[in-house]
Amino acid sequence: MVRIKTPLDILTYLVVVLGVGPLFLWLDPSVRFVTVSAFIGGIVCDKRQHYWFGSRIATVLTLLFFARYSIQLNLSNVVPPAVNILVLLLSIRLLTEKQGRHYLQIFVLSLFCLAGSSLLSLNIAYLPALIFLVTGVTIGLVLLTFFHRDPSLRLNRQQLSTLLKTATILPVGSLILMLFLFLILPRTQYPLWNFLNPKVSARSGFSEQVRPGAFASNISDKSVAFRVKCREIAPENLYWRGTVMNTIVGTVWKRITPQQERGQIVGGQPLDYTVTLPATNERFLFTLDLPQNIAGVRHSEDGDRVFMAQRRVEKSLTYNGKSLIGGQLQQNSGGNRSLYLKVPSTLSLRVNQVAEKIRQQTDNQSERIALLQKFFRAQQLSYADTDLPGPSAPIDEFLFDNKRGYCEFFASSFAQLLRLCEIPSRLVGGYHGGEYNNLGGYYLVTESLAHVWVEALVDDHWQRIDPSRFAVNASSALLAPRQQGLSLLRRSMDSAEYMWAQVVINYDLRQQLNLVQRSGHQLKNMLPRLAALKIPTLLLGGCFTLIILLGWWRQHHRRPEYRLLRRYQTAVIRNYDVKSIPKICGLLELAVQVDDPNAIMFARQFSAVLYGDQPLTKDNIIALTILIDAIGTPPEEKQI
Amino acid sequence: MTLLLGFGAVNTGNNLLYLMVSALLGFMSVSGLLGHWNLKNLKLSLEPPDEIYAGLETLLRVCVINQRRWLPAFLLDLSLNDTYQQRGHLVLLKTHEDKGVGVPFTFTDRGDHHQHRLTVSSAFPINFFIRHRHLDLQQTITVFPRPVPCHNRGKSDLQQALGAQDTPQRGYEGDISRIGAYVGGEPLKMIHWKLSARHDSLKIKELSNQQQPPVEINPLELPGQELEQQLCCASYLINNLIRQHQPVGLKLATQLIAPGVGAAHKIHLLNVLARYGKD
Repeated sequence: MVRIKTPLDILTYLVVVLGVGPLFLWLDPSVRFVTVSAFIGGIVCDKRQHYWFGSRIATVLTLLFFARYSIQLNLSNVVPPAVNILVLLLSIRLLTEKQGRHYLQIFVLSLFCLAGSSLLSLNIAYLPALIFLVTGVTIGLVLLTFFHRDPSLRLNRQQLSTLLKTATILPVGSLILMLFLFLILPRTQYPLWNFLNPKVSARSGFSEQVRPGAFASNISDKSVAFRVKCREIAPENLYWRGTVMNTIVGTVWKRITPQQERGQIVGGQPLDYTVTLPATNERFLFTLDLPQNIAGVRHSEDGDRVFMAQRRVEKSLTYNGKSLIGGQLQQNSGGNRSLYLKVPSTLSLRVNQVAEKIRQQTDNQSERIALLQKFFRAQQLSYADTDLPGPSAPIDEFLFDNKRGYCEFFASSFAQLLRLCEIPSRLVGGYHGGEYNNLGGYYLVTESLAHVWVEALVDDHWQRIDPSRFAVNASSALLAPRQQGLSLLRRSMDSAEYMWAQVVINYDLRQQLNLVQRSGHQLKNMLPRLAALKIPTLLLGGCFTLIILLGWWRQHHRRPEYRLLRRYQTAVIRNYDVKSIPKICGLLELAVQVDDPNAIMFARQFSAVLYGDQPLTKDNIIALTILIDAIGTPPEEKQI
Repeated sequence: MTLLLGFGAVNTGNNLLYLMVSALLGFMSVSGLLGHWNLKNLKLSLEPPDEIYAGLETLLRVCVINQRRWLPAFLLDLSLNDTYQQRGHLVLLKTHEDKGVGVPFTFTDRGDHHQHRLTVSSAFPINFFIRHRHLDLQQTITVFPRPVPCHNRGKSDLQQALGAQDTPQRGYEGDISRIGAYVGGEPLKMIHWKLSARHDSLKIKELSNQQQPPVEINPLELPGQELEQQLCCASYLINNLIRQHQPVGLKLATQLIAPGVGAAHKIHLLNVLARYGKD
């Protein structure tokens, strides 16, 4: 016999672990210590049935903890103090004596703790925690109902097993309904309490400004910049356009929104893709170079093919894009070309001399670019993230002395030299490369792939030039890290995370409306599709359905006498290892052979009904079914 | 709690909160369904005890059969005629299983009771709501008048009042009351061989009769200001006298029941008393 309190206690502590677990790292260190101590202490107290705290001390402690953290509460700091209070309340409850309502309080506090964790992190670990927590709480509530009836109630193992099996219907049904309800629950596009949601962490890779020499080293960050669902394309085409910096002030490249600049893309292979962008707190929308258009998000589009969201991206979003790979942007005549030729007056003499030399060699723009590329290669520049040129004259130091730098140095110096050579140029900021995940069919672009390259206007066409490729170690330092494959484990985990973001995190009012529209369209299209099917196909399908229905009907609408007989024979075969029952073997004969009192009783009663004048009533069927179920069961096992 | 979290989910637009709210709403729906199914397809029948007296609590046996194929029944509370304070409990009833539960109940009136309202309730699966299901049963249960001790006026007075008479008959199982002469026809075992040896004639033992003298009860002549009080007194006397193995009969205005002993006779008499004046 098992006391109902034992499984209830076990479930309660499991629920606490699942509720507090996802929150644990966000708690204050002192609260973490208190929680772990209370968890262990609670188990010990429950085991000994001796509790360290009475209800009065517990109340005083609750008030103290509440006062301690409530003074930290303000509009910009709501969630952390609140979750600390919740966990402390839970800890106190673990250490005190537990009656029915106390178990209920523990379940509720655990659920609130998990809910609180969702306001601190959107990690996929939430999903398994939620599934197991719902399972634990629902089964725990069932056990609590029994505990409430009689705290000393004891059930034998068979009874407990029956109870737990039945109680499992609750979590299974709840989680299935969860999937449906999640899709249809009402949502707002602009939630009022958005400030409570997880804060967006600063981006470390992409920047809307380029300032070579500002940092002595560049830190590689593997956090996800965005994911792009599309077919796999050649690595050399993986340039993800974010912003265009067209103005240089001192050593800093900035963006001025180009006015009256229009252009069209010529050439290139079209490619459709879907970008999933996590919250960035910025407005840039990334596209595959060269982008034609995007859809699915309110945005503005500039003539230099920079797409900006109407509002800051404060939560993850998904949009569709169309690009022309290998295409070139044709500049119209209305653009301000002088903007792309301005150079700072602080450039060193050596840099100016290089440009002067190239200008003197040829007037052709393409040839000047080729000479500049030759110069870069001749300088034996290295692509590096450490030991970088200083902020005073970074371009000069990079080109002639230090000769080490990352993409910003290469692009910035190349673009300035282009301008000195009277070729309009600009910097494009974004990402280069991406790790293709075959499982999910998408590119994973991390912050470490942030990149800057150059666009030069030649014959009214903007040409992409990536000066970083002129580094002597470009293949090993620049290209190789951007073309690494993912391990199977990493791919699987990232696929799960991608699905999580796509299906759960990004599901909003727009997708809800799309779902409704799609369902409506599918319903509308269904009838014409059916009509389009040929008549023989329909006939064949109809016959097939008819056969299945007939089989089902025969199975379920057989006479009850036949069904009872089949059940009886099956029960005898199962319980007495009878291989087969001959057709000539009588009911009673079979029952006597296996020597089962229930089988004998069934045979007698069934024969009386079958061969007598009495009709087979519902009560008879129940009585006979009970006898069949009891076949093979010793008489004492029938009693609870 | 679900409302609070739902309010939070809508206002933050946090889909993880939406997931939790969806799960909780799902749980509410499934628990409602499970609670509903828990009370469905239960067959209830009433098995009253042989003797039920008005005003006295009795334990009625309610037989419950779980006719469901898959779902056991849990935490059933059974009560009769909406008296929720007096309930019978059943923790678990497996599929196709039948169990009897004693339900305490007090009938207030004597006579035949035909309509009964059985209520089966359960807090399963969660103790937030208690669901009820009522079942109206058509079954005749006869409730006897409550036995109320009568004023003891002494045995002789009482017997006189009841119209009792001493029985002069001899018996065969009591003590020896006197020695008589053998007249023939007496059983041989009654011959007192020692005394017969001293006398010239056979002597027999005459044994007293252990049986009490039969009593005919006329309820209308019993103490009591009203008929109900007289019937209660009669019910008490019948129980008391039958317990003492004294033959009891009933003398009513329209019916005369000869004295007799035994449980069946007692039930018969009490049945007559229960229905007296109710037709």
